[in-house]
Amino acid sequence: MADIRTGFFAECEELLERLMDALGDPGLDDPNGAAIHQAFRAVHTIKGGAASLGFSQLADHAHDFETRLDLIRAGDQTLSTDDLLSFLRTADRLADHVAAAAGPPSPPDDAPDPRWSVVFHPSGALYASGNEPLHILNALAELGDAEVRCDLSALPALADLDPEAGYLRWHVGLPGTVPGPSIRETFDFVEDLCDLSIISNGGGEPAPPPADAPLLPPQTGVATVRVGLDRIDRLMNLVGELVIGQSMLSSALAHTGQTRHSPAMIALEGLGSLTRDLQDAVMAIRAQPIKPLFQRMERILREAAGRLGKSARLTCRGEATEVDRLLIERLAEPLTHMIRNAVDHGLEAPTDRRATGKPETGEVRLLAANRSGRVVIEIADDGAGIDRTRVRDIAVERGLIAADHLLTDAETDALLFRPGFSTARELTALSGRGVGMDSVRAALVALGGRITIASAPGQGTRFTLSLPLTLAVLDGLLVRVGDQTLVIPLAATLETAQIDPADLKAQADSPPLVRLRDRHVALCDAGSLFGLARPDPSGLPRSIAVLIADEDDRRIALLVDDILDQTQVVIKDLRGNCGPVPGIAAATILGDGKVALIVDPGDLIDLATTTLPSDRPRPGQQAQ
Amino acid sequence: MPQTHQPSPGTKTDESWHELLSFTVGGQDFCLPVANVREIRTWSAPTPLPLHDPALIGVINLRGTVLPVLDLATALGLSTALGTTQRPVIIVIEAASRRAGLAVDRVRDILTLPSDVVEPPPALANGPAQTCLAALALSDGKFLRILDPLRILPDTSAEDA
Repeated sequence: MADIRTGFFAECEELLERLMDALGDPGLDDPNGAAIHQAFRAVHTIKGGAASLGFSQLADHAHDFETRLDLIRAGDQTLSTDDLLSFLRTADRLADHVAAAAGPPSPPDDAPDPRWSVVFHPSGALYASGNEPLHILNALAELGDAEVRCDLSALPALADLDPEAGYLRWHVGLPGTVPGPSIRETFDFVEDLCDLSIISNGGGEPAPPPADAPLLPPQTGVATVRVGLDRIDRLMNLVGELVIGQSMLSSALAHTGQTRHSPAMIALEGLGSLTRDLQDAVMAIRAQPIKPLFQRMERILREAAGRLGKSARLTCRGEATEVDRLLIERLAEPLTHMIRNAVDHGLEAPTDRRATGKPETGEVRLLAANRSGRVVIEIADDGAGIDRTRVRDIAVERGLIAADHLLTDAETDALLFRPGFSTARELTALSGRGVGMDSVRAALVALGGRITIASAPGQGTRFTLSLPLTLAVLDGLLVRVGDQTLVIPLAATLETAQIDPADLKAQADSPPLVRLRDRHVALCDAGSLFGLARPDPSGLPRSIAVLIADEDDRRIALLVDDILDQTQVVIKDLRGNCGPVPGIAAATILGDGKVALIVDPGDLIDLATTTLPSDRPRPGQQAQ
Repeated sequence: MPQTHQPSPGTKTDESWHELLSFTVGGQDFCLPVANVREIRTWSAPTPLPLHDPALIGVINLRGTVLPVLDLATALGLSTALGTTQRPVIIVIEAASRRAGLAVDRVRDILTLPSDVVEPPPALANGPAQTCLAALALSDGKFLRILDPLRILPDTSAEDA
């Protein structure tokens, strides 16, 4: 729970920054502009997080703010200068609320800061023991900005004055930030020689005795530093360069005839293990277990179930799966939405469940795993499954498909992802402001991910998210195709095989089939598929095939010229500068400094199947 | 290459002078703003990208990042494509935080031109060599064609969508 809280407040800091940026943007008054959306999203996300962590005051405040921003966003209200000023003030208050929620559990107060009020009345014995009130008052003044007032009201007329009695009384005001115990400590030696009261004027509670916990919030957890991701990326690049430089040095040394036991080679080996450690350490900066994200979902599920009067529990598996930090952040919103959807639309009401012989408590399962060099997250419920007739009716009603359009089950399910489709009968408390599955999908696609859906009537619905491990090392199989080297993710590689032309089953207008691992798979030439090299005109066919499978277990056998090596490669972004490349996920840099392309198995199979009509995934194949 | 309009020291500001890198590609001369040029590299064979824009000849390793390399002659639709030159040179440009290498026949010179000789390209321009133009400049009786780096960079928009 503490992890989630810490994560939330770190996120809040970033969101507040984004909010302030957006409010400072001159284009804020444009309802379609980026600024108002950015502001709205920031506040919306704070609201969501605050609500799920139970910071109700913060959530309420964010909600009001969100509503006002929404008016501008919807174009229902134009933005005046006064509005802007009030927005900025509201944003400041929001920051206060965040700080208050992050700090000790007391809410921020509109009243002036609480102050300590100390009343100190030395008795005659104090003076007699040689203590000097001035020293004590000076010590108090050192603690903070002290206001000292002497109360002379008890002073009798000179004739009646007992010179050894204590008549003077001091009222000392101190800022509320001064720790109570420090104040009390000042009076340590005179406590039984005076009348003393120390009260905080806010709640009127007496200061706790020194033995109690200090009022300052305790520093918990490991200290953290927020570092821009670009700096980490730069560090990653440098480490990658180091690995390449080292392997170049190694091959240069080998060429000079150094033996493996020569001092230079031994020193290089030591350097090599340091480099690997360094690489792991840098990777570890970005990779984090997905557990905190899943824990957050537990709460979301509970609340969703509570509000809808359903009974549900969440089971999680694979929480230790490490995922890029950025991915965890960006997944929070889509996942929240999908969990709510699972409870809202997936699970049936308890009475319906009982009627169908299911346990009253519905189950939502979350699973994370590394598969085929990607992170796969599954969200499955044991609810009623997708009501395909209803989905169809709605799609026709909304004009998404023609009334006589024939659809397979899988195609019908895929309608859920179409913009403008929402099966919610009415807007429930949970469905928010019209964010549907289409935006969930858009968010995932923006992360380089895919989402598939499988549903069985009466048994439930399962969404499978497949996301790239953007900044990870990848175990890859290096293969030669023409004069190029390609990297095939090892996780997607099932087998390498020598193909005997006699085993091939020719097909009329598509590549031949070959039987590998008890299944017939299409045999595709990597060279012609990628347009890297034409098939050898001499008629001598390539005979080494790599059997690859994507996360849906679709398979093809890829013909290559040679298998070179099996190694770890550092994934380098390719899309940022080149745009998407069909069949290719990313690039890497080999030991000789040359760039090699990393194959995206799913995309490659798509590419191969679009040219092979016979091998297109059959409808319903994905639903088990 | 004739030196043109040598500015007197101390008068040069960003507004009144253009610093340009001139080079030859496909047998023709073009310029790029020096501000967009990151470095000039000797040729290293790029790794080809499958099924891609023919102008994008591949990617190279630029100190740990993957840099796309464009055959500028093809990108500009010039008849003489790369390969006729023995040793092409790669000009690394950067615009809008994106980088690319441009393969050209050879780099010629750095020119400093006063801004009053730089004018917008003709309105009726068409064809890749024209639409990639940012400006024209007249220098010593010859027209210099200044390319717009942003329009040369490979299209990555499909990823942003």
